[in-house]
Amino acid sequence: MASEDEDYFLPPEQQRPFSSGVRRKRVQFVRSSDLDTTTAQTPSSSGTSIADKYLSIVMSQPAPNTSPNTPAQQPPSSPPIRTHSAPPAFDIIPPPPTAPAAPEHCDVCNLHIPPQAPGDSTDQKHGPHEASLAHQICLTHSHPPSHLDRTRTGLRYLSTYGWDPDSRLGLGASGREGILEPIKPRVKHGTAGLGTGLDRDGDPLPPRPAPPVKVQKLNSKQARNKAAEDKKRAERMRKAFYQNDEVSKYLGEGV
Amino acid sequence: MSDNRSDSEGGARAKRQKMDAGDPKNNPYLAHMYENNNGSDNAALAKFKRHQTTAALAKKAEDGDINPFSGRPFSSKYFSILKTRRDLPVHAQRDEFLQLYQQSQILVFVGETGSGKTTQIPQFVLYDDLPQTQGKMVACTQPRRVAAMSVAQRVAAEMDVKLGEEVGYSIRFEDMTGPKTIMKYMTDGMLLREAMNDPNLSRYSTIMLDEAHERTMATDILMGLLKEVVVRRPDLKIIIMSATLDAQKFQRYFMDAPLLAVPGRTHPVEIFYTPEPEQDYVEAAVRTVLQIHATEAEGDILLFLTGEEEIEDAARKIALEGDEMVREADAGPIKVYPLYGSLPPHMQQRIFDPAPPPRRPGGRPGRKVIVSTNIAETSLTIDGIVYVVDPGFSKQKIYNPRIRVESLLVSPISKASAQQRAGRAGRTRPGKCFRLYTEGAFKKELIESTYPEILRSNLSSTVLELKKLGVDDLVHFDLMDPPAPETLMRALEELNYLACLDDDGNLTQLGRLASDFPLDPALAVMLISSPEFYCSNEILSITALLSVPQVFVRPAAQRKRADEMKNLFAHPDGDHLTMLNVYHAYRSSDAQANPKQWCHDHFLSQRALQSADNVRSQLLRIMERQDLEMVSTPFEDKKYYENIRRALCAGFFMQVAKKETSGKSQYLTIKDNQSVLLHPSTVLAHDAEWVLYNEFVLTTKNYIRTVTAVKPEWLLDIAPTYYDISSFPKGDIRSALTRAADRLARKEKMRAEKHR
Repeated sequence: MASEDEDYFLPPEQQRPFSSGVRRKRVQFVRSSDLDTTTAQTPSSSGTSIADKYLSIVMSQPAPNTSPNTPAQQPPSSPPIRTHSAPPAFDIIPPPPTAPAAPEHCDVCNLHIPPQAPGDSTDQKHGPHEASLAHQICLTHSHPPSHLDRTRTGLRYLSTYGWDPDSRLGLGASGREGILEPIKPRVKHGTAGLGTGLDRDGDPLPPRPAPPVKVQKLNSKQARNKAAEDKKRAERMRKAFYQNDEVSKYLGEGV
Repeated sequence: MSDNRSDSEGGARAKRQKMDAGDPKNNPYLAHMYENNNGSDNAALAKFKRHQTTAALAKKAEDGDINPFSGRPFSSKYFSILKTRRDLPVHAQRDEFLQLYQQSQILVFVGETGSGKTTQIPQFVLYDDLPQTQGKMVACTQPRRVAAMSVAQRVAAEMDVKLGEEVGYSIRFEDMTGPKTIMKYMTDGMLLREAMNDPNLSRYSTIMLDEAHERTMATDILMGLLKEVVVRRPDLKIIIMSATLDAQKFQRYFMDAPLLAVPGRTHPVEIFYTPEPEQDYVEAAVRTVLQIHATEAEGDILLFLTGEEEIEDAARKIALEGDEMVREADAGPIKVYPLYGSLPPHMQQRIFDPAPPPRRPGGRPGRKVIVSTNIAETSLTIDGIVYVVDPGFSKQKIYNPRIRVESLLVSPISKASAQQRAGRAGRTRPGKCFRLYTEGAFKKELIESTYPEILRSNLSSTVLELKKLGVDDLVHFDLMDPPAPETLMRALEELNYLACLDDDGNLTQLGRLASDFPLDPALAVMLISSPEFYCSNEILSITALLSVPQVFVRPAAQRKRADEMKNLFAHPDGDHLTMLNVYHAYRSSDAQANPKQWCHDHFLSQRALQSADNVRSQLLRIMERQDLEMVSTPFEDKKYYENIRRALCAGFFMQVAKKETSGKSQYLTIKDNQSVLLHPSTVLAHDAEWVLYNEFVLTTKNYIRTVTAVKPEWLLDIAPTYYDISSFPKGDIRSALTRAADRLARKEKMRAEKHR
């Protein structure tokens, strides 16, 4: 009763539009006590712009380095910390960097990073490196998961020994993994020689055009004869298939 | 010299005394040491220090009067062979070889075919490794049975010993070794079997994997195992022998082992391509051979084709046309020999006959033409070949794990293979290779090297072997070319359905038993469970028959007569039972009176039946060792054949097809849903609804071969997990299975009521 009364006294703009007839109990929410559970939040509690947040995701900027007073327009200033191939999509909250100082070589692309200069020039230098094509190409991308049926017992066996179907790696000792897909059989029909359908250099030939259909021209007499012939043949076929000896006995030939 | 002699005699005596004092009596490998008491035993080797000998020392021992291994004097034939042996290319590098061999545990050895590596290197090793002093042996593996046998024979002759004594061989279903054996040629599969019971291969001091470039399944697995064994056994030495120069791959695989390459004695080979692709490669090949015969200088021709039928056909055509050329154009005589695996050995031997002589003195020289599968590519060395005709195809096994079909398909060869074929022309003098494809096709169509067998095969027996070998981590087992995950998964699942592996992938008791048989797991399981169906005698015969080449002969000229003869044995319920009838007839006293004539009359292959007999007795020995009962249902019992058919289901329930309701004679394989036809060779008389098949043949059409009619009730009864109705999608097969399950349940109920 009491809660209904509460609802009743809400200002009209906070009342739900559909509840004119049906009164609903409001579901209460409480603010989380653990602040870290929010996922996409950049750690800096200050009012960071959306651009800053985007950069922190794309460039995996570690939290502590972003000082709250960093202007939004400035590129992020931390050294790259992604050391291996975790797909970026799962990497939304970057782990804190191991060392604040920039390494000599980029861990991702193995390229030399220019030494760190004091002041905000550092930030200017690192931004471009991570945005560079070489670096971007070296980043691993996420792949669609493998097509294998996850319920198969064979897969379960392999998984217990540490094979991951989505890893895009074959079996075998590490560093010498084998093929991923079985070899596809190709059935060869007939005795066509090797390379038929290829030109002299081994490139596929364009499909051969169909031979032109010869058009035969008939004069009126020939056309008449042909029509008669066709009719005769149709008759013969009809007889062969449908003529009944019993019937012809009673009705005579030619029916 | 005499000084030296007495010295060494003394040494030998000292040795003998020492042995008498010890316990060598129970070491069978040392038995030969006290057989000969003429004092000269081992005299030549007395001064040899293991792994410190040189080529000069070995030469002296080889030149001596007494055979250091057998203790008998050398025969005169020995010395004549010795002379030719010394001319082989490997001999020049004996010292170099010995140094590398002594220094490192693993050695990669590259020698072209004809360098003498297969026969000479093992003997070099014997003189340095002295396995007899350690009570061990030297093993040399070969991918093929025939090679293991013939090489052992050759080496026994070279060492002037009797085959089966110091030098022997061991192949599946045949062991030709004795207590004295120190040099053992064997198939790679046999060594793998031995490793199952002796994981450290402790009987061997040196293991040579010959023809490693062929990358057979067993060689690949052995390499993976040996990589682990060498860590546990620092005294074991490994030599990987390969014929092609992609040896770096082996080196890298074996932790950068040293490499020794011996040049073969080869001559340049000129290579020709066709300007345009050929429309019919068989016809083009025949024409090319005749053209060579007409226009080229003296020298034999080797033509590569794909299969038995094609080869026989081409050989006949060439012979006919060749005779015509002799009559019309006074060409030289021409002799054509087919060569393929299933050819009887004495026919295979004929390829070594010399070319026919000219028909009259001073006439055009005769020529020998060998039409071969890719046997002649690496394993067989035929001298005198000057011209090679290469259409660019070979039959290759390939396995598709998605539909579980292993098939032999005509496929383009690889570049490495093409080079190997061309090389065959340059063995005796500069030769020519005619490739029946364009240079562009060679560059763009052919893959670099042939896929190793392990990537092209069903792995279920390999996985079973590996599990038995104690390799559980199949994911990280260090293979040179690990197979695709899907292929391995299929193998694990098949073994799980066969109850060889439990749900966690552990070897079961049945799996352990099955791995003792040198058979496909399905066959082994069928054999092991046959006593439950009261027909182990019959199933054993059928298993033996399925493990040998085709018993029915069907010569092209007498097909009709052959089919009539086959019908004498036909059983309306299928081919397995027909084969059993054949075997029973063959064993009857009628047939055994003159088996050769009998087989000939009935269009049966006596060789296949003989080897089936042999296989049967070998398998029988294993069954007896495993305490499996040998039983039969009385022949008068009406369940005699039914029991056999049920027992077949116990092994082959995964190879079943059901007739399609719409199609006339179309069948659909269970679970894999492949549309198949019964092979024309089947004797199955009635329209069987459900059939079990031994083989899926992929040609222009999909055929199932060697089929027997079965009942769905049996399948549900024998393999309930595989035929779990709920796992089938809605459709014809599911409803048929449901009906069968209902029938079973009704029967069960009736039986229960009767009992009450």
